[in-house]
Amino acid sequence: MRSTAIAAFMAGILALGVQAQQPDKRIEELQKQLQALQQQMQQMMQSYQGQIETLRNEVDQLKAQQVQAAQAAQVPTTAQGSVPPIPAAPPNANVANPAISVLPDFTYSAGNDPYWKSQNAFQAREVEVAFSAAIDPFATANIFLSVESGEISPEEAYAAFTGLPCGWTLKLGKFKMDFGKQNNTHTHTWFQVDQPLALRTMLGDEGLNDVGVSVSHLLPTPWMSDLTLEVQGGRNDVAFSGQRSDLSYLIAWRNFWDTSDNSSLEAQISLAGGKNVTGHGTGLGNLAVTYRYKPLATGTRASFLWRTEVIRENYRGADGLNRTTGAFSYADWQFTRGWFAGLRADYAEHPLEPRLHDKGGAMVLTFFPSEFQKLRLQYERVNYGGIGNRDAVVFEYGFAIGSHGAHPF
Amino acid sequence: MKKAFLIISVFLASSAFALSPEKLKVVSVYPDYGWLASQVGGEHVDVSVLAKGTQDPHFVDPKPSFLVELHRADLVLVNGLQLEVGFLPPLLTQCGNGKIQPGASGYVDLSNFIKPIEVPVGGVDRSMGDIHPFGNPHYHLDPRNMAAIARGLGSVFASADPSHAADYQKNAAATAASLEALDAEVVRALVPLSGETVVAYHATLNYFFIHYGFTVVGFVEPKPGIKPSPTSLMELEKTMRDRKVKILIVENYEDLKIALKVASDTGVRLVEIPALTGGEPDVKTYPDLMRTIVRDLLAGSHG
Repeated sequence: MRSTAIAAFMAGILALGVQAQQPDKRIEELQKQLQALQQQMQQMMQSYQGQIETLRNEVDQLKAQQVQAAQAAQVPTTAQGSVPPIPAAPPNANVANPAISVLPDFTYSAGNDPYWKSQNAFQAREVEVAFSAAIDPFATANIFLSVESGEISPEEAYAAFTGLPCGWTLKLGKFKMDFGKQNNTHTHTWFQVDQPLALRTMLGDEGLNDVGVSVSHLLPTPWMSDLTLEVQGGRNDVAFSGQRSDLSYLIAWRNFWDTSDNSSLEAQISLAGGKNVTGHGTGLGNLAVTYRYKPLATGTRASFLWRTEVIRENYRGADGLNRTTGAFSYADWQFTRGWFAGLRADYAEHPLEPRLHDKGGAMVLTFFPSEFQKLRLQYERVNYGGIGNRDAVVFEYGFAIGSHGAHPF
Repeated sequence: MKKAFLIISVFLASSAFALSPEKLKVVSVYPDYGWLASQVGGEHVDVSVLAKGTQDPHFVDPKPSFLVELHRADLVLVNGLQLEVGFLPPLLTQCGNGKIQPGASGYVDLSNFIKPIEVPVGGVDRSMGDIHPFGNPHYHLDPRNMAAIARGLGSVFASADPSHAADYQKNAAATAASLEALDAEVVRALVPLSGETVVAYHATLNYFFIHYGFTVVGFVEPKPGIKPSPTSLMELEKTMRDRKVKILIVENYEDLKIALKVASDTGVRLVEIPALTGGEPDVKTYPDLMRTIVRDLLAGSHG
């Protein structure tokens, strides 16, 4: 009896234990189900989030394309949304090729000026073909070929080193000497149709331009100031002989001041020397002053530039020393978007015939329909020594295609 | 002549002047990124800016005076996407500073930190106008882009000046957060203009338009950088009438005469905005710029 009672008691205890354990298991099962549902929910949310992001990106991209299309074709568009994702990168297949540009320049001239009369009325005066590219991490190459009268010649072809120690810059190759401001410009950057008389008469049609080396360095002054030293082979039609041992040398000191936010003044002194065809020395000096006014005030498209250069040449020949002077001064006024009017005054003495001197002037009207096309009309009158007054009207048209790097200021 | 040449050569060879390395010297081409660099760099950087806020950012003269700053710079911050292609390359070539040449670590192209829009698909040529082949470069008018650039500058400055890396990263995070708050502020402020139909002069504000929900129906420039012709203006004015455009937005460095004529012909309100920090006397910081644009647009929409 006692054993039966004990057994019954134990059975009761066990039954109670089982009853107590059943709710715990149920809770565990429910918790597991809940966790599974939570995981499923998270996975679904991630999936939906991904789909939403994908759709959003597609919508953004389409909207960006719509704005682009409107910009290109002026069609109505709706632009709303966030910044689109990065579109496909543009083709990069040409990355190893140099930037290439071609700049033809055509003229039509009329009148009795001997300079223009010696040329055809219509002429393709020059086609400049330019290449530029990094040679390696240390230097860039700039090559300007000039096609004139069916002949191709390197107007300039040099490597520029920009990462030298202590802030030096170096040029090696064929380049225009840093003699004043006008000498080292290219045809398509001129403010008039032709070069000033002083440069043509005292330095020849090609100016000071030969193979050599150039170094320059900024000076530790409060204003912008730099010094340039150059040595070249000395080939020049007028000033130097270009014999093997007769090199030409140049020292140029350039200074630039911002006279205000809207204006600046630049002054450069250049001295060059070498031997001429008589075996004696030629010394050249140049003082170039440029004033620029370009208001940065909002909504304006006006500007003004005035430049004057005075050139002094000491030419020692078999019959002694000839001292000659040349000068030019010009102004260029932009009076509205794309339109410029200019004036130039010229004076030049002949280095080989100092008794002769020429003087003249030009009026210029230039229109740039865009950055890449130029139309220019110029009237000029020159009083040539020993000849008298001569006149010319010249129309110039030029354009540029391809990627042509910006020129120094 | 030869003697003078040699004397000056010796003088120059001995004139290698060292500069104090105390502060990181940062040159920013545009003022918006100059402001950003000052925020991220704090007291550890010396920031100078080349272009003025009142200038058309496409046409900055490569003045030789810029060479002085570039010569001394440790970092140059460029907008990239070819916005500076017309003036920066000759300056870099002449400045005699190898640290900031393209490809060097000191040449920081900020467009790498953002996602450009309007990247042309297929060929690009100038028949399309003065188009930027790598995308619209005027990304600074979306504060989220500026926040991304702030974070990027934190890393760039930290790499260039590791001794103050923690400060740069902290400043970058704070600046980015403030720009995101600015973005939220602009979103709220522009709610009344959501979906507003507008015409702009140039594609300067396209990032702004897309992000803040404006409807653009055309541009005064028939193609980027191309002066409008009478025919293109007639077509634009017809579109503006047909689409019931209310606002013509023009950057304050553009030719106002043309915009005024279009506004007069069509009766829409002309809203002249600064597009760069410093574009107006009171716009001294980037948040000033964004708030001024918002203020001008709201004022324009209410007549």
